[in-house]
Amino acid sequence: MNSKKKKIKLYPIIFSIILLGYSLFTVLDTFVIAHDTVKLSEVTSTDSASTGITTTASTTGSNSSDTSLTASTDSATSSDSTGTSSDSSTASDATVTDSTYEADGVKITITTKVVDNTTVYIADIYLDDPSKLLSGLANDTLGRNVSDTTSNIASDVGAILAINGDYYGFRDTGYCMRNGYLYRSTKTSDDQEDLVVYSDGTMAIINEGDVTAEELQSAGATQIYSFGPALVNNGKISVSENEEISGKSMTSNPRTAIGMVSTGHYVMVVSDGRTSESEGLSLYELAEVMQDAGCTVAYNLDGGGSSTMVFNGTVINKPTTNGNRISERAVSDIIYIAQ
Amino acid sequence: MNENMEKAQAVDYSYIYNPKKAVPGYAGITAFCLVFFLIYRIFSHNVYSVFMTYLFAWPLVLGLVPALILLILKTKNQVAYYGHIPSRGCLNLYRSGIAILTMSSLLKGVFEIAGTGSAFQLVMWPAGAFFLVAGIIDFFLAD
Repeated sequence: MNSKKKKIKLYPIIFSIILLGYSLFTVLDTFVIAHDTVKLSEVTSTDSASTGITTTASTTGSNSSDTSLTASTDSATSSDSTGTSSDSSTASDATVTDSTYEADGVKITITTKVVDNTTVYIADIYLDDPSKLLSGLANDTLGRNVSDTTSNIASDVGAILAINGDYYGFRDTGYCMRNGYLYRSTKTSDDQEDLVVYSDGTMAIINEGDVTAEELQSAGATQIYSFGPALVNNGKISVSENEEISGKSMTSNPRTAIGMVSTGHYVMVVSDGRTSESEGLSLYELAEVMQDAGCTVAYNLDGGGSSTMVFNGTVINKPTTNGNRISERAVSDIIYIAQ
Repeated sequence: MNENMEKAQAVDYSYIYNPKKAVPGYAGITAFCLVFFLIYRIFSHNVYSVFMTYLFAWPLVLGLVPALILLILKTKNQVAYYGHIPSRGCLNLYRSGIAILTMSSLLKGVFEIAGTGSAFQLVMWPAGAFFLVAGIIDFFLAD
């Protein structure tokens, strides 16, 4: 009888250990353990003769398509894979102030204003060569749970101006293409809106249910960001006044957005939030800011604690981490202007 | 009263399952889930998930409510419901199902609030349902 009782009590103990162990592993796998990693420099190669990059794309997981793309993003590999900054002589040719940058083919003006009790940083960007609009990656690596601060990534790639991207590495779904390399072609849902940047510098909003990532790649896409929603499309605000991310987020938040006025003319916006000084914007208020800036296409990127803008090596906004503490959060990727 | 019921009444099975003990246990787990949600809400910047909000519903609906019903149906000092006797295996399976589903809901809530997801969490739904259903089947099939 005693031995029977001892055996009976073993089950809940063993089961509890297995359940807690499995749950702990799931949490670590989701938030900590880096996996599905691809070193971008190993899958892209510079074609100096054509001043373009030839990218052999192979996607992860269930996506096993092997496609070749020659994109006319000549400076796509200007982000040195070893993490070194770009040539400082280029920077020395530029005229730089606290809020402006002007060099051959690049003109950036940053204005700061208060909108709806929120500090908003608006970067107005003119590029003669639209391929200078690029993605930067933490440790030059695509992968889940590979992250670094926006300012560190910006420093690694020698960015003039950078904002945080869509934090693709925090999710397992959603199209993901960076600098011509298609990393993920698993759709989140048919309704998921993505921002596509084509090799000629144009931006467009697509629904993942309408087109595959491979088709976008064939059409000349060099970047696909999957966060959203679209803020402005065809010059009109495309979010409702009460719309929020999956209907779950608070209305006032730090936000990050990117938009296009016309080919070669872009707008990057970051707003502070969750502090007494800066309340934060709703998606609709952010859309209004983008529309006022002249955007015909604008897209919401990862916000909250991720929202960061770096200009000339300095974080110019007040990013919040773990509540309202002013500190930069590590992210998977950035969008930046190359020198 | 069928044959099983008569057999059950002949033996005291309360060492296997005693609703009087189960009720406060499930009530405690339900209260813990509710408190966990309320504390987590403070740190989640008003981002919410139904899986976190209604985390307490799993032990409440699958554990506390059935335990209360069984407590009402319980014959004096004996455990026999509709002529069936819950075996230790049956109880282990059923409780494991509740535990897996509750943990799955908690993880889903945490991931949704953070804006991510995990395939490892998704498999916990069918696993939990399997244990739960196996426990119920075992209860009705056991002689």
